[in-house]
Amino acid sequence: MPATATRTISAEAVSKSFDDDQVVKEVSFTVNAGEFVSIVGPSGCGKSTLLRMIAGLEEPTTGALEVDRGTSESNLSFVFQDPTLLPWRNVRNNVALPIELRGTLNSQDQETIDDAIQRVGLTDLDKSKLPHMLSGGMRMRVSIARALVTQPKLLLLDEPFAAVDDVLRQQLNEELLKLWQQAGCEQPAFSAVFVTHNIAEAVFLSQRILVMGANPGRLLADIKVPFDYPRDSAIRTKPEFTELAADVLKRLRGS
Amino acid sequence: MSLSDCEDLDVSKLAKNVLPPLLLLVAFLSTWESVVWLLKIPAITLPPPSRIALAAYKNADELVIATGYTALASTCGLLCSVVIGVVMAAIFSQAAIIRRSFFPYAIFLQTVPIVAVAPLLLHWFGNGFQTIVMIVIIISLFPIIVNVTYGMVSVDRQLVNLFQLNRASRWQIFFKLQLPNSVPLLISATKTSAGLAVIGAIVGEFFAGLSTPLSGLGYFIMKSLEYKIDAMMAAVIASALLGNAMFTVISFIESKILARFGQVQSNVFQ
Repeated sequence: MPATATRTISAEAVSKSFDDDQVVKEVSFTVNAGEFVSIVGPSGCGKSTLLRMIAGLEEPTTGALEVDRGTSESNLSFVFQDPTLLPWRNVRNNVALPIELRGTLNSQDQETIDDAIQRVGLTDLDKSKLPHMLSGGMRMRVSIARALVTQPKLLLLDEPFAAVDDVLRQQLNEELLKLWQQAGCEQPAFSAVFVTHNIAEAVFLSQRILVMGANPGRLLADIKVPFDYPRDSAIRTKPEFTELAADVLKRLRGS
Repeated sequence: MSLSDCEDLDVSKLAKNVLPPLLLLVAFLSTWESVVWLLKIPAITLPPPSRIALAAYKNADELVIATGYTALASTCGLLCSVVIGVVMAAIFSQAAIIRRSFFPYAIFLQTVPIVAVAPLLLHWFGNGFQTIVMIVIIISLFPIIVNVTYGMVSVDRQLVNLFQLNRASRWQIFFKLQLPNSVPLLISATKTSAGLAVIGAIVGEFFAGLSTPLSGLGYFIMKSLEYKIDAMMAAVIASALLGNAMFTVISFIESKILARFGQVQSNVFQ
């Protein structure tokens, strides 16, 4: 079976309980290498817990969860709900942190860091700024640059744009897709699992949407998004887009 | 905004912050002076401000040396407290079980009446600077331990996760996350402790500041107790000014450091 060879995540009846409280119940799904998958669901459906389990920050209570960690040291990055920057470090040193924690910085790393900062749309001037001098959207860009600086094969994002306004959210969505698609490359730069409660965002970004329901958190549907990439903002107003979003909403309500 | 606007702003700000307390001081001193003269209160009970000023002038040399000595003792003790406090907080921050075991004894530092322990320390460590510094440490250590421990423990959970995901060692988590996170709290605790340090130094000098080649304000106050109330009050004022000066210096450092953290210094009195 050649398909399993490119599998990044495979979850088999994964459950998670905190004390007597079951937050995730028997969830099974797979994510292939290079795939962009979103998880949508109401608050408290365990979607963030599921993401934390994929990251290895929580252990499943029962079930099998396999994440291909590959041979590379820097396999997986996590983008949190908040920018989660060190307030006493400037932009550049915040982005440098993951490399710094894994070893000493060398001259080649300096290039990687500058490149990551540039890719998320920050300027040279921003590099020396402290987080409190930046807007919320800019801070989130720094957070994404920090996640990408280790060139991960799997990017996990936990409602990263929940706190920004809708216009900026759409812009950041488009930029995220560009980073994923990697200009001039055949293969996407990484596999992505994107947790959100915003349906339009999930439809716009992903190839597949996992719909989750609450009490207990379980998988309700696994929906394919058939639109081609590159996607631009025009797609949001197409009838197929709204139809699919309505379908996702229907599945969510069905829970 | 033009430059002259800025200057106007500064002058009006100065007037707003300095003028009211200054006027209050003048009013207070003149009332005091007149009450003493009108009611013919003997100088041995309550000397008027003019006599205190005169006593301060006559004893200027001795007062300056005494203030310097007390400043040195409180600063040394305070610095020791910062070092010991940060080290203890670092140990406390490692595990809840350590905090639970040691905390009752840390509270002991806070609740022990310093005047009760001072004679004991005098007995153990003898008369002199070292004992005074020891008393300063005991009185100023607790706020630093508590605040710095809190700063080290109350790290954003997502930041800890970030460090874990990048396979950070315990050392890295401590030095790159917990320690810097505690810096603003360390500074504000040091500010609180600075006032306590001056109190500790003066209490220390009451007990252990005698018959040393140089002596501090505490000894000066004790020595003036007999019939030199005006000089004694000058020393009391000097000790208050010393506490104030230490507080101001640390506030200045605090404002610089908090700016780096994007926080604003809280000051309800301005």
